[in-house]
Amino acid sequence: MHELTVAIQIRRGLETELASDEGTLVADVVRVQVGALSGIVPEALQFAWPHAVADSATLGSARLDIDWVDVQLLCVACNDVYTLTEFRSLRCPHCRSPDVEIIAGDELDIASVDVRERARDLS
Amino acid sequence: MCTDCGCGERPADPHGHDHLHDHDHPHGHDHPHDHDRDDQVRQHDRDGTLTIRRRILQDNDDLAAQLRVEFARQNVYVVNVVSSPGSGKTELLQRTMAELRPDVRVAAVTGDLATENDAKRLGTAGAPVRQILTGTMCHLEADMVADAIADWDLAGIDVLFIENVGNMVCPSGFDLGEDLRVMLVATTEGEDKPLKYPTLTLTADVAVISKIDLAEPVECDVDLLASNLDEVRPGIEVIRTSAKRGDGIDRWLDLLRTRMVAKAAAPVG
Ligand SMILES: Nc1nc2c(ncn2[C@@H]2O[C@H](COP(=O)(O)OP(=O)(O)OP(=O)(O)O)[C@@H](O)[C@H]2O)c(=O)[nH]1
Ligand SMILES: [Mg+2]
Ligand SMILES: [Zn+2]
Ligand SMILES: [Zn+2]
Repeated sequence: MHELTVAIQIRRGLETELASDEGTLVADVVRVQVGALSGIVPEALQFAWPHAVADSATLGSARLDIDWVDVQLLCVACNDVYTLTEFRSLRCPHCRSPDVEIIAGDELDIASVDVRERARDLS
Repeated sequence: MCTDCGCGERPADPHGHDHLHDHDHPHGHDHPHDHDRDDQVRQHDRDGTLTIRRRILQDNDDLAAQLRVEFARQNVYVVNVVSSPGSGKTELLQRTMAELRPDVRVAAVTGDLATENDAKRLGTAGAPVRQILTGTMCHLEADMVADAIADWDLAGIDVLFIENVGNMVCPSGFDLGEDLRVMLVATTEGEDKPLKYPTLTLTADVAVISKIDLAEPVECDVDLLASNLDEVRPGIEVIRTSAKRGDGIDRWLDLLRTRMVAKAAAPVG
């Protein structure tokens, strides 16, 4: 698995997004959305996180909050949405129609970050 | 709906590599940037929760999108081959390249953790081949492909094959700018492989069952294997092959030729 790659990409993505504030902000919480179809194992990502941000001034002490997203299929035939605890098939779990749409579960997104201004030496 | 950005679009294919619509929305990180001299005010303004709209693998997706545009401009048809270690990717590609080569200009890059062996095997047909050594990386990423082909003249290539690192999980999340993602499953791997690795099955455009010649000795029920592929991904095209004996190779080559022609005929952009 490539959870370390993913953790490093979260760091790089946030560094890009926060670039204009570099060095002045401290992040306390980083929230990501991970869908069940992403192939990512949340525990492994959690384990990799501190290694990926260890030397980052902004993210070094941030907690990673992983929002796990179950797969949701919209069945066109039933005109209903089904939440799957485990994905096995791109067919409607109710009527078996293949005319379904994945409306959740393929996320691998950065969602938000809690930041505060770095406490500065005012002397 | 595109669950990534809520923009109301959704590609026909569930995997990310058709995500060609623009995800470059402003990222919502619009806290005040007026560098106020009053630190107290600034601190107050800048503390809090910033909403970020960004895919974690966005850098890879962006580069893959660039590659796809370049491949289309130069009319290169790109095939990304993914499977478990040892399912027969190199064997199939070696044969495919040899058979196409008289009339189609083929090239290949192949990713492995270590050794140049696969590049040597693929190079026997005389086509340009590059080995990508990934070290500890369990999949190829778009920048590795871009680096590997950087000094190739794409105008001289009709089909580029990308043999991914043998892995059923990791490659599925990484778009390489390919036109066709092919998943290989060997008859020796058990009929339920597609059910065990649904994510890859979901991102594949075509499934190739390999080592058909071994189905009998290993007592693989090939029909069951094919129906399991269809269970995960209804309607997926399944081709049964033996790269050693030659079964199904004509059908596989026909599919490639048909898709290449379709791409060449499609308007660029
Ligand atoms: N009998 C038989 N053996 C095959 C066939 N295709 C591949 N093999 C054998 O299976 C073994 C693995 O094949 P490769 O082509 O190296 O597999 P691969 O997917 O490229 O492996 P990695 O690159 O290591 O992931 C080799 O010994 C091949 O000779 C086939 O159609 N029939
Ligand atoms: Mg190989
Ligand atoms: Zn991996
Ligand atoms: Zn239904």
